[in-house]
Amino acid sequence: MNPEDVLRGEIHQALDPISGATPELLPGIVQRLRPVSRRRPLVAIGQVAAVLGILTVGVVVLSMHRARPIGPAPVTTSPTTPIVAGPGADIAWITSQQSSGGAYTGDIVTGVDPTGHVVGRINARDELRSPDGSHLYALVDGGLEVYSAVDGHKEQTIHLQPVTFGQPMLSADGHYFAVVGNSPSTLQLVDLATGGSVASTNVGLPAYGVPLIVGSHAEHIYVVGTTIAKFAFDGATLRAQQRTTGHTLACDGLVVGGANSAGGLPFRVLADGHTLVAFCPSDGRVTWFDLDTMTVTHEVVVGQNNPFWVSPVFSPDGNTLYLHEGGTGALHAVDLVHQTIKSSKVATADTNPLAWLRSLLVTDAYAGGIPRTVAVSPDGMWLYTVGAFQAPGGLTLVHLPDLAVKGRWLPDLSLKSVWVSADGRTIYVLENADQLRVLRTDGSQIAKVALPANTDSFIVATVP
Amino acid sequence: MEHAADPDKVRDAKRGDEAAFTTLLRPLLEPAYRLAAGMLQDRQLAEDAVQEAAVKAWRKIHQLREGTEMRPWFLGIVANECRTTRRGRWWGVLKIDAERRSTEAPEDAAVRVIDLRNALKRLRPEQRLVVVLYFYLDLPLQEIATIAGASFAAVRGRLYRGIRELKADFPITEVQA
Repeated sequence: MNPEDVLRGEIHQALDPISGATPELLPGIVQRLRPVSRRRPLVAIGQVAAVLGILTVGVVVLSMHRARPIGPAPVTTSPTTPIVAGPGADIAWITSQQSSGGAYTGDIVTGVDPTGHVVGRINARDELRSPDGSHLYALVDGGLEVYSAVDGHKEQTIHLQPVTFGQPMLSADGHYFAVVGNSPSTLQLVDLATGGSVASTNVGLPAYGVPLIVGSHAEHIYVVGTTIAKFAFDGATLRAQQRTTGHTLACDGLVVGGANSAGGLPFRVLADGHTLVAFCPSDGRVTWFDLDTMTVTHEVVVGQNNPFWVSPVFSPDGNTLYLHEGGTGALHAVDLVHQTIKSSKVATADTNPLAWLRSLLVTDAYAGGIPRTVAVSPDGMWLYTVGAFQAPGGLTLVHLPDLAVKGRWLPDLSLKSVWVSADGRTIYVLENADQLRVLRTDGSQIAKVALPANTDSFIVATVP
Repeated sequence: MEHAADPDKVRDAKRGDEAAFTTLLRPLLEPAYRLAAGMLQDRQLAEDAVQEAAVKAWRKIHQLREGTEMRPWFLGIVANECRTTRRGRWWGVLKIDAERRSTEAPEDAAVRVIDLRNALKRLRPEQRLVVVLYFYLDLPLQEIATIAGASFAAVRGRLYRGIRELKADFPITEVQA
């Protein structure tokens, strides 16, 4: 064959998958012609001024995102003081599920730093990460193991009463740890500063709930399950105070949060200090619950094509809940203060022209758990989303104030999970093939790291 | 000529007739999109570039002389839009070397495709434009010269140099253009 034709054929082979079929462009163009054709000089001047204004804002935003050191996550979750990122907060910790005879036996947890070096490995299960990112916690028989997030070395083991099916949780300031077990039905509270169990009590119901610690001295603990039980802590003992009887956050038999959420908690206490907002992954419900009156005050349902497809993440200030459906690219921004929803579409660029079929064929994605297809930069300006049913699509960069897609990275890769370091400078993405990619904030790659088989997700800082 | 602008339609478009303009534009959108996709290697950016180019073409339609071919005129605007897009695209910068290093089976056909894409990305924009127009849109050099706003000789030189630089990273046989 003529060498020119060979090259022509190769260039077609390289570029055809990118361009695909020509999309229907004319309707969008026609829409944009009309304002142009009607514009008058004054309008045009206004437009120029507006563009200059936008450019100015854009330059400021860009410089904030790219150049200015991005400080620790300005977490303001009530009722604690803002959290300062701790040592190791920029290191990603990723779980790889292990099994024996088909049964889950625990995780190999791998730590990778922003240069792509593996800094440590832990064998654990039911992991949590401290709100400041500096420590990892794992439940073991009769205790709670505490690991450094810097290198994964075990710092201590805190003794606990034995629990089965324990649901662990940290306080928003990271000072307290609580665990609810259902046989026996107990609630235990641990002061992490002293490393000792400080109180325990019988929950008094078939407890399958997550403990929510509220107050700088853990003054109240709510066990959130099919009902919500409120306990008071006076510094020495736990005392049952109140229990809901009516409509609560019950989530089709599932607790809200827990180990399956891989640390990406679908609930948070708002800055007012008494409103708990929770997302139910099985039915797409967002519920506002007043912790003082113990009643549901508002509820909305966000559409999802399938249970457990939606990944929740809160803005750093806790005022917005972003819900991203990885398979379809649907993105909902729920204003938790004003109780409004703004929706958008940020579908990843799947190069397969039949990609839409997957939304019909894939029905069991992440059943029982919450995927982590979304992460927010600590300055609250950018949302990173991945996920297209194990198909190419890469990572989509969404500008948060307007939910506008501003970029796509690694479009040829199938990515399943994303996490951003506490300083916002490093983005970690998991490929479906047990590979981790470490990226800069301009999308350029720092490293590619092979992980143990069956990688699951990142262990995300726990901020209830 | 196949893509010579219909004088009546051009006249109507210049008078503000959107329907006339879209009639002129419709057959050009496919080559425009393929050009943008080849230049930018990103579907979404290519769509955006063509849309922007179409709006600019609408604003500049008065500059199109009657009897002038519409295709090279519009593709020239698209090419210009692609250059602007690439300049502003800080978030889309891929580290080509890192991409290449991360590939484990260099003889794989898929890797060859990636290599060629990367080699195209490394070309200077004016060279990439000529290579894409010549090899991907199969346009004659004379029309490419009109689109690029350069002489026939300059375009032929860019094509030669483009092929030579592609060859440096991507093994191809010498091509006589």
